[in-house]
Formats: sequence, C-alpha cells, structure tokens
Amino acid sequence: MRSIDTGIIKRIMNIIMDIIKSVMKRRMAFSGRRAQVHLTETIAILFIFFILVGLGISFYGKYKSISFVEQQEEQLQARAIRTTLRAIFLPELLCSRGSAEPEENCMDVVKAREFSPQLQDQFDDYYFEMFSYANITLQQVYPSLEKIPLYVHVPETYEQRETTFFVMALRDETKGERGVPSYGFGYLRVEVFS
Amino acid sequence: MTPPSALSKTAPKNPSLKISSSKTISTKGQMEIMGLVIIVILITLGLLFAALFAFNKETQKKVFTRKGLASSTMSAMLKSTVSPEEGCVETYIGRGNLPQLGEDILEDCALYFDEYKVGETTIPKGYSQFHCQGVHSCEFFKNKADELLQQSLGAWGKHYELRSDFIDEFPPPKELLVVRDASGIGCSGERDASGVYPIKVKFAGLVESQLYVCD
Amino acid sequence: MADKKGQVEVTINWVYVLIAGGIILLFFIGVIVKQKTASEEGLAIDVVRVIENIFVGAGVSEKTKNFIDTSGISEFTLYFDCLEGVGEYGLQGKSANVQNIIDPLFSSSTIHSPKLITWSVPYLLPFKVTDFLYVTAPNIKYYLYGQDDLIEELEREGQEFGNIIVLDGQNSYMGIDPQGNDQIRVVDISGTLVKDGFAVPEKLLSLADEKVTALVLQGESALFFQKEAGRWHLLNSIPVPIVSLGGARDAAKLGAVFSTSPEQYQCNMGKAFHRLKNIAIIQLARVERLAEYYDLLNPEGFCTNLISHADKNAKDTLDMMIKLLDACALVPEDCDYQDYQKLIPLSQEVEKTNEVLKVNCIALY
Repeated sequence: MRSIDTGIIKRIMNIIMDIIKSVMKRRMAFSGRRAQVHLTETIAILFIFFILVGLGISFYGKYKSISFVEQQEEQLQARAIRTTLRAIFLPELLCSRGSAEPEENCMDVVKAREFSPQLQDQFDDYYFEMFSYANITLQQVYPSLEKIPLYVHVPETYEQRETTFFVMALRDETKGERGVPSYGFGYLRVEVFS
Repeated sequence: MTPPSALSKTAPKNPSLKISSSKTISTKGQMEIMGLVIIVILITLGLLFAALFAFNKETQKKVFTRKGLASSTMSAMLKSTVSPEEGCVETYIGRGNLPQLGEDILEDCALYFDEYKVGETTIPKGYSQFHCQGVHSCEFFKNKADELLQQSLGAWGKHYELRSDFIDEFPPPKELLVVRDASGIGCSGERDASGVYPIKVKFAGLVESQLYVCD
Repeated sequence: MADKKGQVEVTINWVYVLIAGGIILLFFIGVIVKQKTASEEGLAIDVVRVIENIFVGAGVSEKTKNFIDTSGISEFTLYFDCLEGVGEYGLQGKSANVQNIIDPLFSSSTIHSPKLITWSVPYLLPFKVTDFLYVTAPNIKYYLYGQDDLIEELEREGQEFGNIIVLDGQNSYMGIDPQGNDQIRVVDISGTLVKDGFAVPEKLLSLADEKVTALVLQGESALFFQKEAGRWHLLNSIPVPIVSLGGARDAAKLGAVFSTSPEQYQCNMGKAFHRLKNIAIIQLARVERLAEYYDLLNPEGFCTNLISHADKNAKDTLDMMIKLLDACALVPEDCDYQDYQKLIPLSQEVEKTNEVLKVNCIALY
C-alpha cells in the first residue's frame, strides 16, 4: 500500500514538474522572440528616423538651391541697374555744358561714335571692371536709324541675361544750325550676362 | 492511470497566455500600420513641398524704374530736333534754326489750335506756322510722338499715354492731344508719370504735357 | 540571475540612450554653429553689396548728399583703404569687401557709426572727369580754421552734415573736446595751429592716435598730420599738390579734407587721372571730328584756327595732356605725383580756348 502511494505521489510530482518545465520552456522561447522583435523595432525606428532626416536635408537643400537661384537673379537685376546708371552718367559720353552741370538724359553722339574705337584696348581691364560682361548699345531712332555699339563684351556661354532700356536725347552739334545743336531721339540698350 | 508523458501531450495549454499573446500581437499590428500610414503621409507631404518649390520659380523681371523711363522719354521727345527732311522750315520764313518737337512744334500747335480743331471736327491740314509734312503742327506732333513712342516704349511691351493740355486765360484747359499705345488702352490703372513738362506759349498761356507709362 | 539581467539591461539602455542622444545633440549643435557663421558671413556680404549700390548711386548723382542709416550694422566697423590704384572697403574682420579701381572715394580709414553721410562732387579739369565721393559720419568732427573760400563753403555745406565746426581762434582750438565723438579732424588753412611737433589739444589725448588727424593747406599743397605721443606728426614730408583749377566746390581740395592719409588721397587722385586720360582721348577724337566739320565749312575760319591751327590750339593741348598721363600710366615708378601738377596749365589752356569757342563756334565741352 505504501509503495503504491509513493509511486502515485512521484508520478504527480513528475507531472507537475513537466508542466512547470514546459511552461518555463515556452516562456523562455517567447522572451527570446520578444527581444528579437524589440531589436527589429528599434532598427526599424532608426531606419525611419534616418529616412526622415535625409528627407529633411534634401528639402532644405532643394529650398536653398532655389533661393540661391533667386538670389542670383536679384543680383543680376541689381547689376543691370548699376551698369545702366554708370552708362547713362559716363563722363566720356555725357552732353557737357561747360562748367555747368551736364545735360540730363542726354548723350553726345560724336563722343559715342568714338568711344568704342578709341578705348577698345581698355575693354578687357578698366572698362571690364566697370561693366563686367555686358553689351551696351546706343540706338538712334530719329532722325535716322543708327546703331552705335559702345561696349561689347559678351561671354562665350552664359546662364542668364538681363536687358534694360533707357531713352535718351542724342546731341549732335555737327548737325545743328547757327550754334544750336541738333537733338535726336534714341535709347540705350544695356544687356548684362552671368 | 495514464503515464506522465501522455499526460504532458494531452495537458491543456494555458488559455490565458494564448489569449494575452494574441491580444498583444493584434494591437502591435495595428500600431505598426498606423506608423506606416503616418510615414506615408509625411513622405507625400514632403514630395508635395518639393514639387511646390520646384515649380514656383517665377522670376520677376524688373525693368529700370518706370518713373525714370517716363521722365527721360518725355524729355528726349520734347528736345528732339525735327529733321530737315520733314520740310518744316519751308512755310515759315525768317526762321533759321531747325524746330524742336516740344518748344516749337507743340507751341505752334497750341497757338493755332483753333485752325486744327473746329468744334468736333479735326482739320489735319489746317494752318500753322510750321507745316511739317504738309500738316498742322498738332497733327505732326501727334504722328511723330506716336512713331517715337511705338519704336521705344511700345517695342518693349509697355503701355503708355501722352497728354498735352493748353492752359490759357479761358478755363477749362483745352486738350490738345492724347497719344496712346497701339492697343488703345493707355494707362488707366497703376502707372508712373513723367511729371509735368510745361512749355510757355508766347502771349497765350502754357502747354502742360505728361507721359504715363504702365506695364 | 534574472535580477542581474534586468539591472544590466537597464544600465545598458541608459548608456545607449546617453551616447546616442549625445551624438545626435552634438551633430545638431555643429550644424547650428556652422549655419550661424555662414549666415553672418552672408549678412556681411549683403551689407557690403547694399553699400556698394548706394555708393554707385550716390557717386553718379553729383552735388548730392545722402544720409544712410547703418544702425543695423552699428556693431561693425567699416574700413576704407586704397593701395596701388585699388580702392577697397568692407566690414572689419569679415571677408566681405568691395574692390574698386574706378571710383575715387575719400574718407577716414575706419568709420564706426550708426549713420553714414555721403557727398558727391564732380571733379573738373577743366571738363568733367568723374564724381568724387566723400564718406563721413556724424561722429567724425571737422574743426576748420582760417579765412578762405573753402572754409566758408564747408561751413555752408556742413550745416546739413552737422559735423563741421569753424574755430574762431587759438583758444577755441586748444579747447577742442571729443565729447564722445569717434574721430576728430582739424583743417588749418592758416598753417599756424598745426605744425610738426606741436602739441595736440589736451582733451584729444584720450583718443587713439589714428582717430586724431589734421590737414594743413598751404596754397595749392596739402600736408597731412596725425597725433603721435601727444604731438602732431607730419605724415608726408613732401607736400601733396592739389591738382585742380580752384574755384567753388574744388573737388580735389575737398578730397584732402575728408581723406585722413596722404597715401589714400594720392591713390584716389590716381584713379581720377586714369579716368582723365580716357576722357581726354574721347575729347581729342571729338575735336578732330569738329576740325573735319569746320574744314568743310570754312578751312581758314576762326573756329578751325582755334581748334587745330593756332598756337596752343585745342588739339595740341589735349594731345599733351594725354601724353603726360600716358607716361605716368606706363611707368608709374618714374612718375612722381608732383608731375601731375603740369596738368594744371594745360587744363587752363583748354578752358581758355573753350571760353572763346563758346561764343561763335561749337564748344569743346
């Protein structure tokens, strides 16, 4: 009788141990998988994070490049205005009135015709400093059509071009009568390149 | 009595573990899907912005100040000397110098405006001291101004309107001429003016001219 | 075992977070610092560009005064330099600067002020050569002494500037007080107040040496002085000639007033002479066209004679001007600044011829 009791108790203990072992085994297996999942999650999060950072950098880069292009255009326009101002008020070409202030919005045609032929050798240094890459032309509209190139320094290749026009009176004292100069109508065309 | 090994095979699995693990799995899946959705939305927004930046590169073409242009155009036009080929001096004896468009022709137009405009009728070949191209000074000035402005402002795509009024002792001022661009619209809205250019008319009054330029 | 595992895991987690977080933080801090430096440089470049546009505009509109608000960059100091014909200005300590070989600009070597004053005056010799731009500031005070048209003119023009004071005697000179101004410049026409080795007014001793300068105009020559150890020190042993035709608004003389160093003055005048050469070449070409025109009209006429045949005719005089300027341009080492004085009688000849031509012929200018 006693041996039977011991045997049953032993069997029950074994069963309980088996159950506990199986539970422990399952738990251990599950927690191992959990760690793997956790690690995968972490990696995935980091991956997404770097993708977002990369996207952010690319957006910023795109924005900066577009704003740089806009800045370049603005600077080209500012240069166009600066160049036009310089050309309009060039002492080499203005209509002088003795020691008085020169005539506004006026260019001496005789001087203009001589400007390019006489100072061509300085277009690469002195006047390049003044005008950089530009094409400055005086176009007479009335009394006759006449195109007078003043400064021509066009680059072989360029990305942008900005053109400005400015109407001027063109004084020609050799065409006047009785000491009164003759005035033509024309405009200054200033093209700047970058 | 069933053997322990048999017991282990047939032992029921822990129902609570099964339930809890299935609940966790299903929640995780939902969370992951939500995360993916958010990422897709973010990427879409980002691409949208990129596209916006890429296409929104409107360049604003700035031309030299309109006001300066209007002023210089007006000044140059009024100063222009009429070419001998226009045949101006022939009808006016005693005059040596070639006439200027502003000081001489426009003044002549004002002085003899009544010969040009009788009521509502315009007489292009009415009498004036200068008879350039065989027409009245007002007609000549109008044609010449139109030609010069077309070849400059008009050629650059600008709209313009030139007005000249004669102010004498009898108000209101008389409208001598109006010259508009080829479209005929002129400048009614936003515009820049050259400023008033006055020309004194001998013993008669003042001619005030102004040029409006708009885009 | 499990407890220990948990402890290790938590510790490792914290270490991991700290390291990773620290790296990310450092990365972003680095980006911010770099961006800050880049944007400061960018700002300096923008500022200098805007100033350049303002100076170009001010330079072409002659006889105008402009007041420029620079309070936004008041913590910076503007510097102006000119060496071997190349003018330079920009913000001190920044790489942004503008170099210019064309436009003469006369000013102090440095200006530190929330406001700039620019004044443009044409240089005539005898025809217009270029516009001189003078740059000053309200915190640079000019004390003038002497009886001269220049003093009267500066006093009149200076009313708008608010930084020009006329001294009435020795006592007021000795009592000059900086009163918080950045720089003091004394302009002595009489030559009695400022001499080499003479003591500087006591209250000016507190200012740095380069902030206290003086100019003595002896006839048509200029002497530049700077404070050194409490006394005036002559910067140029050889007087610098003022190459001009005199009269009102003498641009060359005014340039000496606003320029604090003889080197800067001569360098900027050199730019003007280079420009004069080009303008003289165009003037000569124009005169030749006029000569052809008169040759057709009346070869033996009065106008033709004055332009090309008479003694000291316009063509020959302009040719001599060009040759003189050419010689100095080709071999600058052989050319002394004093040689430019020879331009004065030549310019006077051109002026005389022009006055005669104006009456019945086409003027030269």
